[in-house]
Amino acid sequence: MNNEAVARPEGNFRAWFMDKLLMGMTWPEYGKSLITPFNIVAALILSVGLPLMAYRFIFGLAAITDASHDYPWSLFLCWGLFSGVPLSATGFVMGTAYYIFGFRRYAPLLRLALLAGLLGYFFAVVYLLMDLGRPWRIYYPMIIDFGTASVLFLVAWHVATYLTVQIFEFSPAILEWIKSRRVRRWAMNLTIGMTIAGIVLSTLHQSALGAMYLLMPGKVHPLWYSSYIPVQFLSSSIFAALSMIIVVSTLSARFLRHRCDNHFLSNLDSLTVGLAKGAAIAIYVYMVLKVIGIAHDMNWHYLNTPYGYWFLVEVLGFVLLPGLLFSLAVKKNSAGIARFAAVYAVVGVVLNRMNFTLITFNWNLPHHLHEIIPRWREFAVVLSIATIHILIFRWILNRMPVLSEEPGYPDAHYRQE
Amino acid sequence: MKRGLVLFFAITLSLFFAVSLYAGSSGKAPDVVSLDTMKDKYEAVPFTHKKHADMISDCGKCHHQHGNNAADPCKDCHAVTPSVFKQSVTAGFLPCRNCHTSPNPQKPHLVSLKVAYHSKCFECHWGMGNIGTDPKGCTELCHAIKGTKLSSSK
Amino acid sequence: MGKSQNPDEHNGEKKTPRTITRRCFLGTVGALSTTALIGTGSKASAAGNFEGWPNRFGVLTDLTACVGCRSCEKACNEVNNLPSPKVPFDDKSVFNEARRPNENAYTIVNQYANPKDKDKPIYRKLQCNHCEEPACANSCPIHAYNKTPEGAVLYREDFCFGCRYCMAACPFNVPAFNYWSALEPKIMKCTMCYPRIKNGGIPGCVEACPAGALTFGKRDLLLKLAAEKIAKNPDKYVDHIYGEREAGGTSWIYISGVPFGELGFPTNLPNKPLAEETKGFLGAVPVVLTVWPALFGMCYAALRHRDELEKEKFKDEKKEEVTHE
Repeated sequence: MNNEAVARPEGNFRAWFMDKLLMGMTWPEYGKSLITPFNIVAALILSVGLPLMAYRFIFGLAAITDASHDYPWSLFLCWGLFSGVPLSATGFVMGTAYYIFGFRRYAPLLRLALLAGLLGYFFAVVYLLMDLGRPWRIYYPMIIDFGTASVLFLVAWHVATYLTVQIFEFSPAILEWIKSRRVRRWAMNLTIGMTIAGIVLSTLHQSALGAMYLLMPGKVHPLWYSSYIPVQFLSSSIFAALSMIIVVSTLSARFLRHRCDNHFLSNLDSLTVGLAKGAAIAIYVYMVLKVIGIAHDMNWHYLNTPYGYWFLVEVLGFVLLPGLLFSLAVKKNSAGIARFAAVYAVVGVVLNRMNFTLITFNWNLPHHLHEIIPRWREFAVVLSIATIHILIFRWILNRMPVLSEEPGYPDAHYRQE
Repeated sequence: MKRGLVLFFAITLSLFFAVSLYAGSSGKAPDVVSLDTMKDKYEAVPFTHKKHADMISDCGKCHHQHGNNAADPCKDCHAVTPSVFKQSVTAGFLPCRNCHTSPNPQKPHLVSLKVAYHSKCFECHWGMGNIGTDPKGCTELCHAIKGTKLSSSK
Repeated sequence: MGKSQNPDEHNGEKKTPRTITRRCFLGTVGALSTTALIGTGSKASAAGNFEGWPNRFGVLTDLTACVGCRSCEKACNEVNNLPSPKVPFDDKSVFNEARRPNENAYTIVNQYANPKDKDKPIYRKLQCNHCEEPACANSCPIHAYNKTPEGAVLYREDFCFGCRYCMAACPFNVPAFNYWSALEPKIMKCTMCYPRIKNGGIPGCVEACPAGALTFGKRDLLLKLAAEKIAKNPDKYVDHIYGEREAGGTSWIYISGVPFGELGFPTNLPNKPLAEETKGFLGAVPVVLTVWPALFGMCYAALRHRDELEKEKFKDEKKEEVTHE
């Protein structure tokens, strides 16, 4: 990899840039390096998914969705937006921990968390564009008209603003990669302001995604519905983010080991256990909030119904249990248990969001459980977008100073103790 | 004196007799009324008024001018001028269309003519044939679509 | 060989990295204040007591009078120039399944068994209820819904970008979406025949109904009429006017001979506008936008404070070492 700490060469910018893109390989070499099992599977997935996406834009949403009037939102939003956004809170959680609370030992994970968050939000917007009736009008709430009484108006503004904030937060890594010192200096100066903006915006839109469901008391099952939904969504996004950082760092260390530097790899296990501590606390807080949610409206009797059993499966099996596993990992100082618990917790958060938006939404309509099964085409498109997400993630990790340090930038908040 | 008395009674009795011709007698009432206000869509309905009147002794059941509308002010149905008032009193029973006309958003309790007909008729006819169980029931039993004939008989 | 171009150095000495500049701080505060003011733009609505538009209209539906002739469906279809249905309007086979308003039918009639009389099924007309304080209007981020002075809740497609939150928010599951159009998908629902009622007319369905199941008039008068009907025939009607208060009140109100729950009406709705449910959250937004920066700014300041103390301690220790040599 071309990691020399020299200024950009004056001449032949194109050759220099292509060299950076291809990571020092020639075109034939690069082409050969792309033929891996993962890439072949990805290509197969995209060969089905990309035509379906084109189909959607040519023939309308009915071409790939259930086109249901009773269930207007399906996988694109339930998975891509409602589940994707809490999992993408990694940027705000890690940024706050590092810059505001001073958890400086987590420096190796910082940029990875910022990148995961940035791409997560970016693809949330991609899923949204796939789902909107008229995606070319997505900027309308910014300038054309304002539905200020709507929670979704808030979500739209905040997601757009926060995406910008995250680009600024991650820009030092990009600027280091293309060796643009002056611009990088300016970007670094924005860091604290952007971090605080990120906390404010994330608090609001993470809870706003839950607040959207406050408007539908008749459609969300009483065990999930309470006036505490916004704060429950916010607190679950915290441990979702911490768990995602564990997952992503583990995957990076496993599959992109050659890109990680020693500082990252040698500290990863202890940092993982540290994150597990935070995740455990966040889970216990969330559990208490869930109990308060039921207690407030005296909805205990619903627990003894089929949906009640499902609620217990979600909360006890997929939230409390990962929490206990996190605590166990901390006690035994085991990164392995923490990693397992992290995957488990991520599944739990996705399950919770799916329960709100897909599984219990309109639970008292006839044939409900049959109506909510999405078409295979939706699954295919969602899988394709997820594949593209992973490919882009990998592309960036392979080239930019995220898992390792770019020499020549001593103030990169990477090796700071 | 005696002649005057007889004359008085004769005049009074004949007056009563004249009025009694109207009161409760179906003699002046129409035999069959052709209901054709929607003749652009449906064939006219030959309403057998005499048959119904003989079946239902109480005329007020359909001509409910003062029956169940006592709450309505008089001026809602009668013009408040002496001549017209007198005329409407002696005119006997008003046809439905005198009070029920087109729907008026300002007076929702006074239904339109179409609704007056149907809701009155349905009091007895709902359930006959397929009325109430099949949208085709209306055109089978009561009013055929323009250009066709009724398919069932009452 | 030129001097080092490293902006992190100045005359060979390393500059202390600046992490928060005044410019940056002011910029952030400015941006946040602007966003804070956005959340305060919504007018506070009266708590379930809609006093605006005093002359607004409504429609009283008497569910004991409907004979299931579907004339209302036919009239709506004609007035709104909707495509002809596959199953004609005089076909009773549609009653075999419960339908809902869709992109080709703004109103539909469903059939239900009558527990009081098995030979006389009950029919229920479904359409937009034109709520007093509609959840759809509250949910729309682009302000595409409007409660008119005449009482009709109107949708305009000029700005709609198809997020379909209104469909999710509507407690009666009314708005339908034209998923089959790639370039002009839009919400489709009953308009209360707004152009007609604005000019003194009545909606097409009401005009078409022969049985007197639908009555159009001022909502206040209709509520009185409904109460009168129930009072005059207590055995015929259930003592409840559906829509008087449900979801904050609707323009389309119903009286029925059997409990509304048996006819598919949602009975778990609060008696206040659904918009009330999100007011608390939206009210907290400006507070977060103001307090959070101060709170976390202070955390950061505390962190810097600790760093400086550490640095001073380190310097003092170094000095001691030097003096002790």
